[in-house]
Amino acid sequence: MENEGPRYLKDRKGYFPKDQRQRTRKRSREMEASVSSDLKKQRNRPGKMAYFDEVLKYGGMRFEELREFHKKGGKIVGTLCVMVPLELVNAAGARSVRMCSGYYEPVHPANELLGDAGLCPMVKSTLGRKMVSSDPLIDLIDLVAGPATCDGKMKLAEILEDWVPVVMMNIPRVKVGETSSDLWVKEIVHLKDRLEELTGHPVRKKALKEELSQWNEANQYWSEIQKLRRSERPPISGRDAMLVVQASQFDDIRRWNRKVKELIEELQRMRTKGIFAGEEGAARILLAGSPMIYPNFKIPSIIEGSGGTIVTDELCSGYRLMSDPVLVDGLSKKEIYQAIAERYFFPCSCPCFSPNDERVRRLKEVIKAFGIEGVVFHTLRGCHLNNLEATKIELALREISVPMVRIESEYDEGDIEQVRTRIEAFVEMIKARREYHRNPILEDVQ
Amino acid sequence: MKDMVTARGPYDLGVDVGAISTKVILLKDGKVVGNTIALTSMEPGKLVRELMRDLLDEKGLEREDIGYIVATGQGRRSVDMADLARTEITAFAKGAFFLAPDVEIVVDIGGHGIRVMRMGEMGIISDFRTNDKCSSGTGCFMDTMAMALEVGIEDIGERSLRSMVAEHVNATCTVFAESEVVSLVAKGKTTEDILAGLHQMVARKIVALVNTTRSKGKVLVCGGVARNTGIVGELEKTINREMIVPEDPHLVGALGAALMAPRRKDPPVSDTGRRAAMGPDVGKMTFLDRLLRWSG
Amino acid sequence: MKELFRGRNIRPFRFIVQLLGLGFMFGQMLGLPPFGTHPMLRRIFLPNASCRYINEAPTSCYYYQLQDGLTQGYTDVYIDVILMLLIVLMLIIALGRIWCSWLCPFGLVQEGLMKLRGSVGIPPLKLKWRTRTLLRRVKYAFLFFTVLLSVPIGIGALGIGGCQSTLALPFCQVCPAKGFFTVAQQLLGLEPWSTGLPWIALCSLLVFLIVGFFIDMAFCRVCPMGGVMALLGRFSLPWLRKDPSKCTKCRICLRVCPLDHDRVYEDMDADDVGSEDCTLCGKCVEMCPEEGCLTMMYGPFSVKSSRRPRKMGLWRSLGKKKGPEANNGK
Repeated sequence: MENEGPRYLKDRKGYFPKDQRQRTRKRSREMEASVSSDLKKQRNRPGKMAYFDEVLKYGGMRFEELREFHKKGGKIVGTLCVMVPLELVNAAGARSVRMCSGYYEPVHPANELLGDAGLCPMVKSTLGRKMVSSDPLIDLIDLVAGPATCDGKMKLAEILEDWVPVVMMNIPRVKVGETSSDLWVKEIVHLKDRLEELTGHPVRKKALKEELSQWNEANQYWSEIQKLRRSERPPISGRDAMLVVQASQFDDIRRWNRKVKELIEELQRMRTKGIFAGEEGAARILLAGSPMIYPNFKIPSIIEGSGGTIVTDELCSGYRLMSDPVLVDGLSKKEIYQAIAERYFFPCSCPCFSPNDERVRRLKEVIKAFGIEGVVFHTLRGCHLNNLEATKIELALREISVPMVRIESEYDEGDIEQVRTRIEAFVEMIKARREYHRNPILEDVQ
Repeated sequence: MKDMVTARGPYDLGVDVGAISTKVILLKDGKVVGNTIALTSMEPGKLVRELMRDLLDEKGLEREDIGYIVATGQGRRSVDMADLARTEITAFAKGAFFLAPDVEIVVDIGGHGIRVMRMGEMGIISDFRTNDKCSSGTGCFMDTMAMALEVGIEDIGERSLRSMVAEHVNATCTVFAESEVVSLVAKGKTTEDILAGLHQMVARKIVALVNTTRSKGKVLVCGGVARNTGIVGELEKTINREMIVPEDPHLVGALGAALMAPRRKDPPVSDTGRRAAMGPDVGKMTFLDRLLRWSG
Repeated sequence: MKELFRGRNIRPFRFIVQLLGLGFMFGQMLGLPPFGTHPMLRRIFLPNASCRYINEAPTSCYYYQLQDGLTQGYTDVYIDVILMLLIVLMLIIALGRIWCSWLCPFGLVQEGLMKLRGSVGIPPLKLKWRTRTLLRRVKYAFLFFTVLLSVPIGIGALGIGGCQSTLALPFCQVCPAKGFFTVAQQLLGLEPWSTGLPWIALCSLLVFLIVGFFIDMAFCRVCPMGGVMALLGRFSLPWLRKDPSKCTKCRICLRVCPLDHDRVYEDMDADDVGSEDCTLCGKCVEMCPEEGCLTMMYGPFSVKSSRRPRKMGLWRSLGKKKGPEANNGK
């Protein structure tokens, strides 16, 4: 770790030609623009969504702000996982940026470096993005916080060390047992120390409490949105909801809270007026599995374009970002760190943990609460953990007779038609089932 | 959607625009009136129109006699005159349920895809699987193999049945399987044995996909590749449960599509009723007369 | 006050109850009229919410009576043994371990220690699983040895009847509550400095105060009267219900539990997650962020359910910002 020089790319000079960077940048920008324009074309889209589009825009308003901040000597911390407590990053006076990438183009430079290592495309894209700095935002990052969750993320953190300082965090992957909590608390405290060292700014209890209450507030707003999505016709589309929650990973949380509050008010107004985002009678779908980071909205777009509506999700790029508040009982610093650590660790149903029975239990509960008719389980190619859990989840869902379809996807657009066929068949199947269950002659369900 | 007529004719047209061939079937009151098949062209819409015209001419019918056109298959969206477009997964399940309502698993081995549907109540799919980004075992795969072995695609089934000792073929990838076949040929293995080995490999792959549904019920195999007696034979050996193949397995999708015409009520469920409905009117392709080939 | 009952915070409410209980016991000493002078009334023993060593306390803890009877002999078998036992059993069944966390005066003292530790900023020392399970047995051991010691003391025929005066009430001799209340009264000037200070009890008090400062509710973990109640816990009316389908396993309940009762967190099948260690202080219920996941129950009635914090902020009671108006679902 200490200045041994690059390990994965020794002769970096001229390895990636300038035009490759230009090309990657251009394609990334184009991809983001097209996804964004697709999103804007959704019918009955709340006007307040414009702000969130802007936050996530390639080289948009938030990037300009962060650049200003960085120029003034502020520090920017990249996070590789939802298990990094952003409260802590903010309390140390740094800004956080989620590094996981949803851009397709940067996969190629990573493939050039690693060969086709059967690795998850999200990891490759994140790496490629840093390698050719396809996104100007990525160059601003001073430190990366990378919990070693899955193999891909763990090695990604290691490889990234060739480019940028990384705090690797040892996450206990077995949740039961005496040491897991203690170990993770220690890792969180270590992260705090590294952040303090980076910013030269101690994490004060007062600031931490303030940040925590801001993030708890954000949690609260998110659960309001979830409540709205629960209704018979959700006023917000699944893609928009994902966009909102993903924006929180980049934005200033105070402003995000304000804007989300406005959004919620607008959604409530829309609901009373009877304006809804989803089409009538759309199949109520839950999205689960591997993360889908903006602008990799391929599968959500297909679902919502084929007569389905994503009512909720079970992704670490969606619901899981804001699932639980940090509630502190004691006032000592250690207790606060413990509360933070446990909030980011225990309720997390990432498949990297074992045992992970909560995931199934939680999924069943959400299906009941949101009236889900079908689950789309998305796995990125090479996401072994989700692939493994898919079988377990499918069988568990069969017990409650909720159908599930497994979709494996890559970071490219080649499989769109195949995926679309499957999703359409899935939606047709859901509607047929619904029709069948509604038909009182065949079987009186109600 | 385009040429919607207010007074619907009594006939329904089911169109299955597959990856390799396009199948059109004409249905009236649950009876197959006629069908035709052609290789899928670059313009499926045009092709379907031509096929339809041929079929109508053959039967002496007018365009107005057709009430609904339902398209399915990969090119379903390019059939611009279709009233309805449904995915092939739904269509095959529908057709298979019509043919044999007691089947639990429907396997469709098409030109580009293998689809396994688990049937729920009333012929509604409860679960399905497809091949993921791998064409092994599909019609295209068999085409390539037949070409590598310089055998006509129609003959590979018959010839593989003549094999005494099947060769092992391990590669599943189309390209690597082809090179493996070439190397087996170079080793002097007979075409029959290699074909049998290929069929074994494909059957293993399909059975693995079927088994992921964790269902132990009866299987119906359809789709173009199901006409390959070699693969069907291997499947029977490996699948370890009751399996049936309809007489014209490649038409099941088009049949299912025609059955999905919106006006159509579900056909009588009793088996005899269906046989009576389907039997006598079938043209040169006896479709349901000797409907199902049962195998032990 | 309305807010309290509607069920945001259990803690202030519980504190008031604790103070009332304290007032009940010290009331007479402070000049309030006695609750009744009938001797029967004074012989109703509460499970644990009082102490013999509080001067003029209306009654005393049943554990005292148990030992007293065993060592000194009961004057009237029907009234002293059967009736009193029935009354105590009824009280335990009616309130369960509510006695511990809502009424026990020594419990209040220990909570004061917790508060002190918290305000100094020292985190509580969490016991390991092994230690916790061992401690669980200690209270039954205390119970067993008390009876084991008391019975031979009581039986004069064994020839050690002389011990009665010195070894009477074997547990009270080491009970830190005795030490605490004696000294407290003397310090407050409510009672003159007597000649014989209970030295053993004072030592144990010192030990438990020091240990209790670092380990939450240290004495409650070994209290033999708690053991009696734990044995009867499953029959008592108040209980703690968990809806496992709502649980996200966030572990807040285990973290805030002063007695490290892990069943609330671990158990995903049982309905009743209380019993044994749980003193029904309700901390987990008020901290649980999931709507309706944990519920304090009284028989078939739900008393208070956990709910999502409606006010934002770190501590539920401290949140000052108003959240979005809670809307009524669909």
